[in-house]
Amino acid sequence: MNLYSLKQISHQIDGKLIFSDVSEVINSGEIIEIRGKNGSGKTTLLKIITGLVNSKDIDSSHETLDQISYLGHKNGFIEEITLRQNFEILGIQVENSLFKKFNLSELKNQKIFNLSYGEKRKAALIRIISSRKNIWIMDEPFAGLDGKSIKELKDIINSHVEKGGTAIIANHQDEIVESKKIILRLEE
Amino acid sequence: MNKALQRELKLFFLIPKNIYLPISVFGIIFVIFLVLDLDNSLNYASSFIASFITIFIISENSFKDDHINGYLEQRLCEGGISDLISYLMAKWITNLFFVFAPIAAISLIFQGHEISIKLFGIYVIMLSTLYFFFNLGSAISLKRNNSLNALLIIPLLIPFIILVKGIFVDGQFEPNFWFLFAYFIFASSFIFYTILEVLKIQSR
Repeated sequence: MNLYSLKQISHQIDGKLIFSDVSEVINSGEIIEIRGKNGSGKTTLLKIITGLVNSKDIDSSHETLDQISYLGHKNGFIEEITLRQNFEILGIQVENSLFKKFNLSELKNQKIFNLSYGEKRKAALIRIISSRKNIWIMDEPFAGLDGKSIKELKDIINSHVEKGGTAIIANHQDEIVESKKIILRLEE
Repeated sequence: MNKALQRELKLFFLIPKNIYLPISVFGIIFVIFLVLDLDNSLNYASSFIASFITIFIISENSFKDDHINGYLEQRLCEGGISDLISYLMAKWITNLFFVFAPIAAISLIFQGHEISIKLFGIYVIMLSTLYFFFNLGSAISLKRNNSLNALLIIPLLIPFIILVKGIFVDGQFEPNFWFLFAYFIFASSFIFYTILEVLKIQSR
């Protein structure tokens, strides 16, 4: 199923051309990995895909908005309350096995400001994984994660895509090894 | 809407400052006026000023945390503008029951008015209108981390203050209430819509 059609998208910020002529068709059951150096517009392109930044050069089906689970540079958690309470206020049920997989089982009752950067990032990824939505849009999801967590996350993303889901990822780290993958390079 | 309301209600009770901040700010300012022993004609002014400053202070941080932690960006990306409408409505409903209603009750008791549903309703409408205006100021100043923009909103409130005085001090319900109600409709539609657009721009 066709989710998005990017038709020669270009973007400028304060008169500076960030990227130009980006074209791609994004279907369900694919991983789209957006790669590029710092400032090449990876985050901006993700925001265009979600509709946060307007562009007339993108077509998307109406059903896509309800199916998006988005993780930007920030995690979206309230710092003064615990990890468990954060999931409760969002009304998200998280399987214990997922907390175990990311070594967060014993941190559920910790306030967010007591967690490290990597732990907060893993918790935010758990929100995406538990969202039961088909389109995962993630900005640098591997940043700050240890080797084991990176492997777990890659496995989870691959499994999500095998089940018909879609992952659109801005990524700086090693490429995700997966057959149904499209790499979108924003550079030079 | 249900999810947004559930989040706001739970957050209100999970973070203690949400409970004690509005009531203590209102209480402190009100007590200062009582200690100053102002005569009865100023009872309205003292409760109005206390309410005004309280709504100003609680509105100042309405969106700050959710902007800093990326929650607003998430909402806009996952649910678009309709999610943001639910988010703003949920915030207003939570404040309506747990901040505006208690302040209205306390104010009317100390002003020596009879506690009538009519006056209580007018007071809550008055506080809600203030809330929408100051939220616009808060949304505008989101990235600047100061309250100057909220202060810029105050001139817009001058006609509103005249109407409120007409109702509570002069006791002229008609036609002041209907103008006040029109002001509330303006705040809850046009100002509400402007807040949405400003938040969308700020979250990019």
